[in-house]
Amino acid sequence: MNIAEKTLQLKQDFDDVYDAGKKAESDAFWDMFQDNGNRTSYSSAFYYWSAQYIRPKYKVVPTHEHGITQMFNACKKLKKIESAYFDLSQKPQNFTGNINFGYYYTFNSCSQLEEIEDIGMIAQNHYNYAFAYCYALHTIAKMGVDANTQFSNTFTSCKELVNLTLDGIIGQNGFDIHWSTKLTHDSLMSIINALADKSGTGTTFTITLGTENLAKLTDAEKAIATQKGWSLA
Amino acid sequence: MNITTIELRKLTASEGMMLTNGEIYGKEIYLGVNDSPDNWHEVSKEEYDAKMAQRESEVMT
Repeated sequence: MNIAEKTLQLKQDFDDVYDAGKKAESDAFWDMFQDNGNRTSYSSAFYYWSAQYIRPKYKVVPTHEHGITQMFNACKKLKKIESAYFDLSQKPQNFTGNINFGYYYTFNSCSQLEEIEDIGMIAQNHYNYAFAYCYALHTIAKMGVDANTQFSNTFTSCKELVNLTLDGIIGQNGFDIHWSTKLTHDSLMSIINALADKSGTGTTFTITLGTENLAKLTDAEKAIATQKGWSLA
Repeated sequence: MNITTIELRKLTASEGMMLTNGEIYGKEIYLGVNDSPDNWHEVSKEEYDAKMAQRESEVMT
């Protein structure tokens, strides 16, 4: 090698050592943060993180009762929740019935979050404040619900939401998505078709879609909901 | 040939007003089979805006 080639090789060697050092530090951090892959609760784990993407060393699989509450609360620069790194499909293994268990503020104030891939969001106690103030959110790939899932301020100010797919049944009052005026027709039908049949209960249940979304539905589609005992606002 | 009859009962708020059953608000309400117009009443848009502002202030940011 001549001097120039040796100098380039030396720089490459320095870069390789530097990168190896960075990776070692990164691995050490995640080993500690995730208890070498054994961490079960991620409650508030990424609260106020400033990263655009959160890509842990070990796949995040919360199994603790409070495992997902406030997990990404106020991650104001976060762009996407990627399925390669998060799996929320496991039911809590030590559930005590605490009313706060669920997607409580889980993605609240992620103001630049655009997409939540299918990360296995299964039905939990509630989605209270789950996506509130996600101003840029346009896609929730799959959102698990069941007859007992509660909704309070779930979609507050989700003004850019376009795509939403529900998996399961809506059985409780409180579902209000009127801020999301850009929802596709398919997304609205996913909501309509998820409504439980309450017609035989004698009780009225109500869901709020908002005027703009109601205008996207035909009378026959609205009647699917009303015949199941749901009033549409 | 099939004939389908679709019955929808729709309440529409007066100009400058919103409909509410005390919890839910809307400009238009399509009544479920167990619901009744008697369950809904009109409130002013100002009252509705104030209620929405109060609810949004309850959300932790």
